Amino acid sequence: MTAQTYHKQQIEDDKSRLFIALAEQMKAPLIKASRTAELARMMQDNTRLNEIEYIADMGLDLIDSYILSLKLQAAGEDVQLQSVSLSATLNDVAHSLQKLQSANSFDIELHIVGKYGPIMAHPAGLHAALMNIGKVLMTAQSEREITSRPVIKLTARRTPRGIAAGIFSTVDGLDAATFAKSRKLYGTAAQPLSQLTSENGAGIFIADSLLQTMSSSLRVSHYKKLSGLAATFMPSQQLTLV
Amino acid sequence: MNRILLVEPDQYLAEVYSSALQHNGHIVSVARTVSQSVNLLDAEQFDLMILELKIAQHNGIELLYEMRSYVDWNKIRIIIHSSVPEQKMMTSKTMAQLDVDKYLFKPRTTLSELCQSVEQIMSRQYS
Amino acid sequence: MKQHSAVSIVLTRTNYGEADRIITVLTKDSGKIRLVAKGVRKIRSKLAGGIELFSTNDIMYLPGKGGLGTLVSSRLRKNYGSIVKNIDRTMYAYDALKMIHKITEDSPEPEYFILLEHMLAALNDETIALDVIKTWFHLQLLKLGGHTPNLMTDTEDHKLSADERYGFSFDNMSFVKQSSGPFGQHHITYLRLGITFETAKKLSQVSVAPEILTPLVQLTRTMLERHSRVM
Repeated sequence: MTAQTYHKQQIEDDKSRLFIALAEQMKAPLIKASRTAELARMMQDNTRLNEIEYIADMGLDLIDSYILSLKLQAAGEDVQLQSVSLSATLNDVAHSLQKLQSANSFDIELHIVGKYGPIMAHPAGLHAALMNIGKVLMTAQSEREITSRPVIKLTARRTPRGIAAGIFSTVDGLDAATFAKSRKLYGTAAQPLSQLTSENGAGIFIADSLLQTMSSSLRVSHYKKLSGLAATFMPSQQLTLV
Repeated sequence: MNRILLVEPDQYLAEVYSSALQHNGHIVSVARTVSQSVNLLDAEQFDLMILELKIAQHNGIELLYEMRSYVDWNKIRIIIHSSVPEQKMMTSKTMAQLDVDKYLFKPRTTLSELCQSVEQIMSRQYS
Repeated sequence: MKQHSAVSIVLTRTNYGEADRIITVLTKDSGKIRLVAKGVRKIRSKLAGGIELFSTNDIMYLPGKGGLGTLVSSRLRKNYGSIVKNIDRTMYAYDALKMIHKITEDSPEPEYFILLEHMLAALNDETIALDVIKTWFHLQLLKLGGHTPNLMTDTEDHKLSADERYGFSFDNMSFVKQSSGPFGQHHITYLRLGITFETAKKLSQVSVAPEILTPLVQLTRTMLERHSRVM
């Protein structure tokens, strides 16, 4: 087998695994929707029907981000990267995650460290990746025993390698070695990120797939005693318009 | 009225299952982690445990073996209610060795079926 | 009374009275020992208590009458903590402990301890596929118990051929020629490597297709069930 063939095979294997991870993950919102409908019927309580809408939207968002990752991968070198304001994107993501907050009782904080120009990224892909990471960390936090009010921090800061965007939480248990192993386990193991969450964590791997199309990738990172995931981007060469 | 320990890491599902079981007249305590489960087992008396196997950091198999190593917890009936398929997880022999009363595949088990299983097992317990 | 020391791996734990636990440990040099661990139930973390499963511990103990000693102290030497992050591996780890417990008499050879240590290390390493570990472990148990399958000749004493298909005779522990048998050259080669390699890690470095490996897990498991006391 040539190196090229092996590489192609690897990509196809990764796609299959990601699809399986997505399919397994989709069981969660579908179970929730189905049981909620049943509970509403059982207790004759229609107020729960709003929850079904919310749950279904979560599932649809995940599918959409998966489809986007496939499209961007298929585009390969033709992916349309643009100058994107990272702080504006993080702000959008924080607001979107805020809508989940009432269900999860989190503090969502934004920490933009320093000033810098835009980065080269795919706008929708970046937004979807960050949303997926935030949701998985929020789920992971909700599975823990509550000792203090949980917090999700979205950060941007300059590093020697570029501009790093990160999402951090009070959830412990994620380290570089575990995350590296989980990249080999998704789509096969029932809990590839078992140290982090009871779920499949497909959102993390879809986020990783999206970021790879932008020449970036997820890594475990730490910020002020919090742990989480971050990705680094190249600054845009375009002049910043004030 | 039975006292049930529901081991379910998903906060939302825990609330849904708990509501359904309470609606059927049971008293339900919820644990999201294995250590929380052990602490509750220590602190309170339970008749039955409904257990999801996929739990962060530790897993339900560990909790199951740990439970069955304590004679005073052996009276607690166990329903495994998991998104991991039964055939992937344990043989009928292992289920018998661990004294698991029922294995329910979560995606395919309705709330009514879950409640019915609880009723069946508890009525066997008392007959 | 003089205290004894040992390197040990916990095989079973049960409770004993209100505060104590009885543990059965496999040691490297002193065989299998039953010990009372006093007061460990008072420790809030029931999953630890200094006598964790899936770990190697340095223990000090007092031998006792009736085969039940007293654990004096336990220090964790190596914890195979990754095992419990994976449900399938956790399940198999418990199975493996049960197998070792059933197969070993009170004075098992040190090789059983070494095998168990290697097995836990393999389960702890997520880069080694679980089916590889299972196949390797089953073969090593068969070897230690003197039940190594015949991987050189078939039931008619003919040298196994790369061009033939075979079934397996559990009575003879040999392959039997079968024109549409489920096993062929690749299965037999892999079994030979599984017997020879000292660790599952080495075996995992041999590339093997799932359709070859999967039936070997069941085959080796059945060999064990027929010829050892694992069940």
